[in-house]
Amino acid sequence: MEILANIWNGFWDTCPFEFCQWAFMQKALVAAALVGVTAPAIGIFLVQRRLSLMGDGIGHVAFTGVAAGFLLDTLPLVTAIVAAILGALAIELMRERGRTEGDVALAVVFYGGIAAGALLMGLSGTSNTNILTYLFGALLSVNRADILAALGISVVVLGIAMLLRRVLFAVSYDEEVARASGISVRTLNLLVAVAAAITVGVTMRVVGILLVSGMLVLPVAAVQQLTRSFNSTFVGSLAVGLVVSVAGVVTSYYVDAPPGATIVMAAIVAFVLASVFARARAVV
Amino acid sequence: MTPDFHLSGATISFGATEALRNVHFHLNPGEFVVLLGANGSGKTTMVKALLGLIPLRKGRLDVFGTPLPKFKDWGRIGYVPQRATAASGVPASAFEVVLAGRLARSRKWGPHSKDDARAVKNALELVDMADKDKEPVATLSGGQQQRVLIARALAGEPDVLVLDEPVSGIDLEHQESFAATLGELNRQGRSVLLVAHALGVIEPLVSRAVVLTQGEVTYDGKPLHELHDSHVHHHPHSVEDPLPFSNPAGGSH
Repeated sequence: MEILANIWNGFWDTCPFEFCQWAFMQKALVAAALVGVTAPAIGIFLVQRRLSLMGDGIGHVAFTGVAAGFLLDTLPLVTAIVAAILGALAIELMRERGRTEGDVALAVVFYGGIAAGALLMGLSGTSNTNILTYLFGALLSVNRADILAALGISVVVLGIAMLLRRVLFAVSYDEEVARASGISVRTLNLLVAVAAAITVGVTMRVVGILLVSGMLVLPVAAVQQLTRSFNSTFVGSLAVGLVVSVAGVVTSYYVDAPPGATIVMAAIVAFVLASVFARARAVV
Repeated sequence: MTPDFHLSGATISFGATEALRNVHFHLNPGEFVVLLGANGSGKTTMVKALLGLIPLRKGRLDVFGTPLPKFKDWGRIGYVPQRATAASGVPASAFEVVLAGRLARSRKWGPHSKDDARAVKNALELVDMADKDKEPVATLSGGQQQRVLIARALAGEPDVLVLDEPVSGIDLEHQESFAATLGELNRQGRSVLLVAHALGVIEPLVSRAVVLTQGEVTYDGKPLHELHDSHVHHHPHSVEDPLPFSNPAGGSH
């Protein structure tokens, strides 16, 4: 443990900026970087299936989970992830059955999640300040346990996205043909849904429930305007996710704004820059 | 001789409507069969049933001599679905799309193998698209996208190719080169089942024609010229106006 602590301290000692010396900034930067790399790795499959807003749907259900956590007096993060997984599975199954259109299924989950969350929050008598930290994130208060959770989830989600990239691509690109190739499409769709749910769970700590989907989708949306293949979009999205997360946290330090907001604004800036660049390239 | 597909007494219904009624059909190895019929006659339903995508309500399906529930060797079938565009939400290169068709034959995790890359290259060569492997599919023309989707079906090195209306919306010149490609694939020993509105340019290649009318097989035999005439279907988007591709439905750009 001491060696790890030495490496950790040594790493920050090499950082020339003032903000690197604050423990809360160190933790915030690491948590944001982990989420920044992980979220687009699963978000890209949602974008490809034109389910960009699925992350939002999951986030809204996670809000119910947070509220349930307060009501039951257990860790809101755990109940949030459980609720997110259930919500993601519900969205996926509704979509798969085809009786409900994908967007209608999302709408039901969106409003159901927020309404149930507000109801439970009311019953548990949670303070408004506490609610706000979940809606907009509380990156500056992450502790070591949060970072370890983020690290574990990043490894699992990135592992799934990288190892199964070809087959996940095939399923999100053309479900019918994938099924006709004997691929267990349903299992993989549910796997993506669960991976998205646990990603939302940790991302929630960083940018908040209302901005979660931005981390899943915006880096992909920015990069795909400039790329010509799925692989380069994948790699580029992870890089942009990392850069905007770190840039967002640093900006929040200097302008004294909530980091969730500055991270997502940085992602929007990346999106706009990519659009401008893509236009300019098309003209030339 | 074991047929590639053997469908007997197949009935499929969606709610109260019967899409297929007591259909008997077989495709023998090496055959080139065209499945004809008007819109809504059940052609696509039948093709999806053959691929195990839609369950039969009654009847039985054997694929390469194995009852469908036990059939696992999906690499032997290459499927080209009815689709207006190969574009998707995120950019994908022709190579990546074709590689997706290789999964029935390759391991599912990790990077693709050299064998996979070789099969993809061969498949792209067969449809004359080898030089476009790095192009994003969304920027290709309609005919080129169609050829990428055929290459995807070929990447698994299948014994049978199933194509659902592959030439609708492609101009005549490309239809002819497409027919030549299909003829070549058939000569190499692959069976072909092709769904079409009309015989058209593929007529010389066809060994047998099957006609569906309102979910029932009303003809099964030599591709007669009358089939050609009675089933000519004037597509709203003709040669001069290849609209379905100039405005790809759901395109990302």
